[in-house]
Amino acid sequence: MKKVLGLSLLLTSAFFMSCSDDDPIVISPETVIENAKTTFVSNYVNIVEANYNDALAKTKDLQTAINAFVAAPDAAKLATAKQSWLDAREPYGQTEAYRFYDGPIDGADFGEIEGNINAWPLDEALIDYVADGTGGQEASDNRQNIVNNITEYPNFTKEILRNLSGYSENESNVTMGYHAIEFLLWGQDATAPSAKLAGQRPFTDFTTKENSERRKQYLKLATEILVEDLEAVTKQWKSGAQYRTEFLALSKNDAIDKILTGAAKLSNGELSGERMVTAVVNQDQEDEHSCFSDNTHRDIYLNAKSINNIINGSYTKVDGTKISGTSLLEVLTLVNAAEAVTLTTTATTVMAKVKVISDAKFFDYQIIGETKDNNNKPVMSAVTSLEKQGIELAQAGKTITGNNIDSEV
Amino acid sequence: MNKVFFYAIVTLLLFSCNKKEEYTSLYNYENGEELSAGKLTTTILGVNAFDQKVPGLSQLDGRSFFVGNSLFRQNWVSSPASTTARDGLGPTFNARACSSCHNKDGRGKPLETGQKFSAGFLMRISTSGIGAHGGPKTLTNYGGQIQEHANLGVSYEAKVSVTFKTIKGTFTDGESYELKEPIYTISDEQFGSLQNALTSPRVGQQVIGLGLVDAISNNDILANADEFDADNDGISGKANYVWDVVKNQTVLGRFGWKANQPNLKQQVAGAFSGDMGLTTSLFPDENCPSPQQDCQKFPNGGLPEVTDEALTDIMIYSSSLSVPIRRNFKDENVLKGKQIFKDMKCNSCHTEVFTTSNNYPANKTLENVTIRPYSDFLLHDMGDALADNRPDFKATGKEWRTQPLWGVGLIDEVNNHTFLLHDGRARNIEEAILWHGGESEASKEAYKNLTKEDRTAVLGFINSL
Repeated sequence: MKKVLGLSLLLTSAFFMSCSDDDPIVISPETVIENAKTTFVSNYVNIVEANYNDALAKTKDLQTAINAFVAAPDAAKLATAKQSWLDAREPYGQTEAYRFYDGPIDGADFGEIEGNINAWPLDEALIDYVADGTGGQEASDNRQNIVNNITEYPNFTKEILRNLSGYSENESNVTMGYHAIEFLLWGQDATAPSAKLAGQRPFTDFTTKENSERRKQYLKLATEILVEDLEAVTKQWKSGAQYRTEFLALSKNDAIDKILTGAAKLSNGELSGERMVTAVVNQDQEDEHSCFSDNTHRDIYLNAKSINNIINGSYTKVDGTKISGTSLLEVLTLVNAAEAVTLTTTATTVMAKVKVISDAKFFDYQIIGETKDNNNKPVMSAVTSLEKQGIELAQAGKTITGNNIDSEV
Repeated sequence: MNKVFFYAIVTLLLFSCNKKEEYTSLYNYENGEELSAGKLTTTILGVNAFDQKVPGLSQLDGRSFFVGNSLFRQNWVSSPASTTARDGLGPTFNARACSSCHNKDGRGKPLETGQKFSAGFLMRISTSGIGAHGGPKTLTNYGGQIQEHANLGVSYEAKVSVTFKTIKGTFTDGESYELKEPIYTISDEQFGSLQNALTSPRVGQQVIGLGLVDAISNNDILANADEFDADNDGISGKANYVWDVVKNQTVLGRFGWKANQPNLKQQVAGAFSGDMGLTTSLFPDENCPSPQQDCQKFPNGGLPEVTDEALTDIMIYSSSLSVPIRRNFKDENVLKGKQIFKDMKCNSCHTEVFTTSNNYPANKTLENVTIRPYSDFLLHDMGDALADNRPDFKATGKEWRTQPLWGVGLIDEVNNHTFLLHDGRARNIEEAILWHGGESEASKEAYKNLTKEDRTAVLGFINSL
C-alpha cells in the first residue's frame, strides 16, 4: 500500500510541477526517472547505515553477554550468550546484499573484512576439539588445535588469531567471525538431523574441561575482533564517511549497478547456490551456513529479506522503526512497468518460500531427500525463485542503467 | 553556390576541430582484444577475479558450479568421518583442499626458506628410465611425488626445504638485476633414500579458463607444432604425448607444467589422487606404495572417495571458471608493449588466439569461442637454468609447456604475490622473462637490450593480460 502511495506521490508532484501556470518549469519523464534514481540511491545508503548500526549494536550486546559468561561461566549465561548471538544474526543477515561490489564489507581496499566476519564453513578442528573423524590437523599436531595446542600457540592475542585465519593461504581455514563464536558457544552439531538438535557444548567446557581458560580467551578475543571488524565496516557508511560520500557522488547508474550487483549475486549465487544447493547436493549438515546453532533457516530468510529490503525500499530497524523511501520497484515501474510487475511477483514468491523454510526450522532436516534437479520441494523451489529473482534483478539493472549486470557469483 | 560555400565552411570547421582533437595512436588496438575468453570473459576484477563462472550455463550446470566450488574450496577430512561429503583424505597427502594450492582459484606460493606449511608447492619425483605407458618411472617406495603430510597414525613420506642462491645480471643499459635460484633439499625420508631421485618442483597454477583450453581441438594445437624447427625460426613447439587412463591409449597432452595430462578431467582426478590422496573412478587405487603398510591399512572414505557425481560437479566448476577482462588495454604504453612483445617474438610460443572447437560435450557453453590464452600449449626447450632434468613422457628435462599468460597480471590482487614459473622462483614478471633460455634465449636477450622505458611497456602489456 505504502509503495503505491509513494509512487503516486512521485508522479503527482511531477504532474503538478509541469502543469502549474505560476511555475512554467516542465519536468520531463526523464527528469522524473533521474530524480527517482537519486532518491533510490540515497534511500539505499540510509538503509545500509541503519542496518549496519543495528548489526553492530546487537553484536556489542553479544560481546557484553560473552564477557559476562567468560567472567563466570554457567548454564544460564551460556544460554544468554547463545540468544544474543541469534539476536545479532537478525540484523546482520539483512546486510548481506551489500556485498559483491568491492564496498567496505568485501572490497580489497578495505581488507576484505567479510572473510573475517562471516566466512564459512568453519574449520572448527583448527579452533577446538572435534569429534573423531571430522577434521583435525596432520599427524604431527596430534589432532590438536589452537585452543588445545599450547606448544604451537602458547598464548593468544588478537593479532595471532587474525593471522591464523586462512593460514597456509587456504580460504577454507576459517577461524574467526560469527561462525567461530557460534562453534565456541554451541559446539559441533553431532546429532542426527532427525534429532532436531543444535550443538550441545556444555558450559563446563569453560570451567572444568581441559584448557577452559584458553577456550574462554579465544571466545573473548574472537568476539572483540568481530566487533572491531564490524565497526570498521559500519563507520564507512556513516554520514560524512569517505566511502558513503564517494558512493553518493557516483553517477546514479554506477551506484545502481553496484546495488543491484550485490542483490542479484546474493539471490542467484551466494544464497541459492552456495548456501542452499550445495547443502542439498551434499546432504551434509556441515554445509549449512549456521550448522552449530541450527540457525540456517533464519540465515536463509534474512538474506532473502536483505534483497527484498532493496526491492521494496524499506528496512525495519531492530527497535521497530522503519526507514523507507524510493524502492527499486518504483524506479523500475517508471522505466519498464511490465518488468516491475514480474519482479514484484517473483519477490513476493521468494519471501513466501523462504518463510516456509524459516517456519519449518532445522534446515539440516529439511534438505533430506531433496535433489538439485527437483524444483518442487520446499528448499529447491525457494532456490528456483531466488535464481529467477537474481536474473530479474540483473535485468532490472540493465533496464534502468543500460549497463550489463552479472547476477552470477 | 551557397550550398558549396556552406559545405566549405563546415568542412573547414570540422577539419579545424578534428585537428585540435586529432590523436593517432602509434600502435594498434585490435577490436575485442581485451576479451581474453571472448564472450565468456568476466568483467569482475579484484580479489575474486578468478572465481567467476562463465555466463550462459544451464540451470543445472549453474547449480553444479556452486557444489563444485564448495568441494574445491573446503578441507577434506580423514576417514572414518561424520562429514559425509568430504571424507577420505590421504592417507598421505600434500594438501587438504584444492584451494590450498589454488587459493581463490589462483596461484600457489613457492616454498620459502624455513617454511612450516607449504601453500601450493609439491615435489614430483621419479627414477631414470621410462615407466609404464611412457611416463616417468616412479619410485617403488614413494610413487610419483613426495607427500609431506599424512593422517594420524600414518607416516608422511619425506620433507622438502629450500635455500636460495643469488644470480646477478645486467641489462644492456647498465641496470642490474638479481635472480634467486632455489636449491631444494629432501630430508626425513621415511621409506629409503631419495637423494638420487629425479625431482621436479611445482606450484599450483591458477585454474581460470581451463575448460576453454580443454575445448581446443587437437588439430588447432598441433597446427603450431614444429618439432624440428622446419621453418628455421629457432622455435620448435613440440607436442607431448601422454597416457589417457580412460581411453587406455597415448594421446596429445596439454595440461600441467609439462603438458603431461591429456585433459581437464584427468588433470583434476590426478590432483585428487596425487595431492590429496582421494580416489576417483579414473584413479581408483589408494596412493600407497608397497612399503607403506600403515597407508595401505588405513580406512578409506568409500569407493571411490570422490564419487562420479562429485567429480562431475568439480568438472563443471573447473571448466566453467571464466577469464577476467584485460585492463588498460588501450593505454599507449600497453599497446607499445604489445608491439615490442611481438617484435621480440614472444608470441612465437605465447600464441594469442585460438577458437575452441564445436564439439566439447563436457560443457557445451564453451564451444566455438574465440579466446586469447597467450600459449601454444606445446613444449619448448627453456634452457639449462630452468631445467629440472626429469623427463616426462616426450618432454625432456629442459622442456616446459608454454604457460598461458591470460590473467597473469591479476595474480597479485587475487593471491597477494607475483611468483611465477613452475616452482615460483621468479618473483615477478620481469624475472620470469629473465629466467627464459634455450629457444627463448633470443627473446630474452632482446628484452635485456631494451631501454628501461620499453621494458616498462612490455611489463605493462603483460600485466594488462
